[in-house]
Amino acid sequence: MKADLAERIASDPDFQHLIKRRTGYGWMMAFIIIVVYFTFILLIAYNPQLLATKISAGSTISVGIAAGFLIIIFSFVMTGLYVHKANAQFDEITAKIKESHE
Amino acid sequence: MKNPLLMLAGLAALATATLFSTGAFAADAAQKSINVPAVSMFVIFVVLTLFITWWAAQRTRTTKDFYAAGGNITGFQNGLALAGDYMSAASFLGIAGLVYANGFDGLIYSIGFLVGWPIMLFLLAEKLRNLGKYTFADVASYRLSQIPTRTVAAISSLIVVAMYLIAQMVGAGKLIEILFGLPYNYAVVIVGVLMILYVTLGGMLATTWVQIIKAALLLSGATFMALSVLYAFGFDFNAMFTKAIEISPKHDAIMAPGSLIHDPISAISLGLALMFGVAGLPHILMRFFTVTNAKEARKSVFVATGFIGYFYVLTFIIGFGAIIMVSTNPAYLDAAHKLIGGDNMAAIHLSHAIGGNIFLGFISAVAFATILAVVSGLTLAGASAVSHDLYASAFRHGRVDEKTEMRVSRYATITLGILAIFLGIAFEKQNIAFMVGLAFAIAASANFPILFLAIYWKNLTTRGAVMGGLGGLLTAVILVILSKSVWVDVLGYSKAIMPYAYPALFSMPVAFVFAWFFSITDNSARAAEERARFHAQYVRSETGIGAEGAVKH
Repeated sequence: MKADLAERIASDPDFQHLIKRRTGYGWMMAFIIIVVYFTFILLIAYNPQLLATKISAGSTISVGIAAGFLIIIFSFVMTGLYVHKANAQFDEITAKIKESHE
Repeated sequence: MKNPLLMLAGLAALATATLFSTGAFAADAAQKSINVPAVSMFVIFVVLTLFITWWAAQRTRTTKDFYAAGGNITGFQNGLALAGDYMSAASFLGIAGLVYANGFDGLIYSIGFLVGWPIMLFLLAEKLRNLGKYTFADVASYRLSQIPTRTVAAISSLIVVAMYLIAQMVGAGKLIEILFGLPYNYAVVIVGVLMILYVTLGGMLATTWVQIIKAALLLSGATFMALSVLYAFGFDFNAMFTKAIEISPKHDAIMAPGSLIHDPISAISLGLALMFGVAGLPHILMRFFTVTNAKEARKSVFVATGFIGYFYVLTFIIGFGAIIMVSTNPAYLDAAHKLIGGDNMAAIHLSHAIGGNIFLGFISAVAFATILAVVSGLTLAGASAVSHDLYASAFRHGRVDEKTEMRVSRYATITLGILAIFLGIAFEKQNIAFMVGLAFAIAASANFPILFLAIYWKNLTTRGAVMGGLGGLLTAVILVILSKSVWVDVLGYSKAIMPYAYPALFSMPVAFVFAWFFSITDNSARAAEERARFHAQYVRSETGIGAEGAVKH
């Protein structure tokens, strides 16, 4: 990409709007996954007893196994949320930017 | 072009069948009898995939076809292919075996292998697609000096690919020895020859479809197994766990963290390698250049995350199913009451317990197909590091025609394939577990930091990228050599120098700190130019304006 075109796009308010929203959203989503995952890892390391407790009296399912399954589902849901938001909002702004500069 | 290729494919199928039948004689003499359903289903798979390779070969004319399937793969197809590239026999048999032996601990690995995918989506996938052409080194070296950056990226890619390849080849040999009754060396040679055929003739297009078919087979086979286990308990998880706790010699301990993780430092270090390793695996990153645009790249991660997550849920149920249906059946145990073939065979024995010889044959063939699909992806990634990064870009400075680059790429594939066969045979007796761990650790410590900083950090310079990549790579390798798995188990010293099992907690920061330090202290004119070029890269990475498009056939 030529430097002057990059300069023009960068100063486009639409571009700045896109960057602000998408970058913030992407980092927030990544941060949530990292926190959830390392909470799980730190519990395994420091408090395995908590993960060994049963989710309810009379159940054989442990907190650790329930949490593990939930993290798998959660990861998938998070990617779904991101894709949905990107399709619904970010792509539209990107298309607009492309239109006005290509 | 048509007929010789068709003949070649037919010959290869014939050779495979012959190899199997001669193997059968050897097996009759020395080992247990050959598994006829398994071999027939495997031969069907081989014939089908060779037909696809022949079809793909007609459509592989340019480098873009060869490396990126013309950029015409849809997001859904690529998601399935990513899952097929990622769900190795090691995750299928290894994690099911780990759950069989330790219960909950198997889940630690599954989750670690999965959580890197959302991170890849949120931070890398779209930008990768917008900036790159065929390899992740394209992205890392976008505004940096080509020769040093690509050389470092190619070296660490080749090391990751080699470690992963050895693990898969040895796994394939062992598996086939037990399943099909074929000698180990035959199995390694069959895998090597087939993968060379797929990749040299059909390039990325054939590799993609082999991975898609394998993913579909693996997911349906594993679904059937998990449903059969759950069906036996009226789809009541509680009843299934109760029974497993009763039967397992570890009893209730299988429901909680056990002996797998010894100390907090190792736990965190493993967690880091698994989470960030995915975003540094060259064969996975390469798949992002096969789709039309950033939108499809995004969709493919969503699809891949769904299938891979679902697959890990299945392996967990399969592991518990094996505790219940396999561990008490003397037919699957040896004299010492251990599983025949080791814990890794838990899923295979379970398939026999569920569906007899026919289903065992199906699952065995699927496991073999799984290995083939993964090694093909790895070889293609390794070959592209040699031909695209080292040869065309670094050695010939981009002044090379497509035909020559493709030829080099095919030579590289054949060389890597032969090398993989020899390494597979040479490492037969070695403990291979640490190799997959090392591959993930290097990917997380060398490839991921360079890629991440190249995309996000304006001040990264060539010097910083080279020092960061080499620093992370060497730290990871040295720490693994000094840890128990090599220092004590391979080299025979009495005490490990590195007390922790996994290096990423130390080697990742080394990469980032080196990259930072050697960039900010770089006052050369070249560094100033590289920083100035960030702006245009940034705009392209965010909007996709100027990105590589798909080709029409």
